Amino acid sequence: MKKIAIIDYKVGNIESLKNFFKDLGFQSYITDQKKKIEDSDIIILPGIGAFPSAIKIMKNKGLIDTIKKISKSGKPIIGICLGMQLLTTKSYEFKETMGLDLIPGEIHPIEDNQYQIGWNNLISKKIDISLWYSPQDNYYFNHSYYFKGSKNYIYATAFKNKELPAIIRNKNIYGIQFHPEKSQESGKNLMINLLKSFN
Amino acid sequence: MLKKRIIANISISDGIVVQSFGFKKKLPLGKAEAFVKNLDRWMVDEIIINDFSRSKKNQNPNFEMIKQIGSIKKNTPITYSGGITNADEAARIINYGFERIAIDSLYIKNPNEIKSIAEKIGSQAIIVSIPLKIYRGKLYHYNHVDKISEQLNFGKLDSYGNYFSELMLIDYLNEGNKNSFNYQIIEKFCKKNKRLKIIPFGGISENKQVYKIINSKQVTALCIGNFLNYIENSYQLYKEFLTNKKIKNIRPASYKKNFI
Repeated sequence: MKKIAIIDYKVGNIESLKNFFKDLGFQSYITDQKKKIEDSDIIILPGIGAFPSAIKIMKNKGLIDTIKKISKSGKPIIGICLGMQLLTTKSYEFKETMGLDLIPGEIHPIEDNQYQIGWNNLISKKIDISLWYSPQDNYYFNHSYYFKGSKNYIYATAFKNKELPAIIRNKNIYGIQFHPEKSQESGKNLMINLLKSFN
Repeated sequence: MLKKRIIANISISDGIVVQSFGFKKKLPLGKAEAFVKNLDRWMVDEIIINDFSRSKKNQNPNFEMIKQIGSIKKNTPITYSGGITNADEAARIINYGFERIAIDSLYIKNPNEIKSIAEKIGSQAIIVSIPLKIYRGKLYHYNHVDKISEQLNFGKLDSYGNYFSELMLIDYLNEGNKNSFNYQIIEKFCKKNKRLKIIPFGGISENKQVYKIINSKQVTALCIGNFLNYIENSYQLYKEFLTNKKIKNIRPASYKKNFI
């Protein structure tokens, strides 16, 4: 069975994710230990929190180099919500802060102090067999910053005054702006298909 | 299209779920875990745990209960409200598996701390909730701790508006009472502030109320408490009514295929 490491940077809803993967039939553990992260098959960067605060904790724990090193091995890395944003080059949340730079692009505030909070549908931008969803399905979003980058990395968007990237991908690196773990049946279906595609 | 939400409220007092009436009279209902499990199974849009006794009694959040609720297997977004005083407490609640927190008495006692909380967990994860009433045509903010009402300070809301994402407007006098929400709270608020997104709560029980409130421009969600406990499938019946009224910006009723 694939081992999933949920990275603990003290600001994510990590217990929710652990319960989620257990419910989907996958073994996961919460860790900030380099060895345990390196030993896993799939890495999850969880959501909820502010970008600078999460990066600071990752830096202090020496996790940035570990994750960058693992990314080169082809091992899947999935960032959820804030976790997705951490995968990008840099963010302007509160101040300019460098990210992991695994998916080229920047994180900017949604214009006019807008938030995307609630349930929304996905608009497909690129076909990817590992990212299965229906346009009727709703997913739970909760963010006020969004990804600005090349359309080559944008696989799906969601409409809130304009199209905002919802799923981004660069090879083995996946970024999901919404919370699959809180999107009830739609989220479960999407994540189980993604995880199974790694076999 | 982003949907407007119907949030299910679970009122807690001294560790147990209660039916609350104006946050004064209360009837015990049971353990929070059972209510969270049911609401998750009913596929509600969002759940809020409102432990109103914590703020009233100047107590910090009940972490034993928060941990217990966090450990429940659930796939529904959940918010905690009650006695949060600083960023570390807020982050701890998120860690236990909550997506958002709501600030109540802290907004009165130490509003600058909201900025620190936002810097730690992000403003998208913060709701500010304020109990309101209309008095002589003006909005008054009720302070549960000191038991005083003051005219709502719109300037203060503006100055802290970047550190939270939604504002819960609680009709505290009508909370728990059927078909009694005072619409003037929305009207008067939105006349003075056109920017903040609002979540009305208190005395919302009828389909026609839900329909009227959900159609208000600044309303991103509304909150229903006691009335989810009276009728079987009540939550999805609200959704069904709105769906039949051709309201498109909600998640449609789903219990027919998923309930039970």
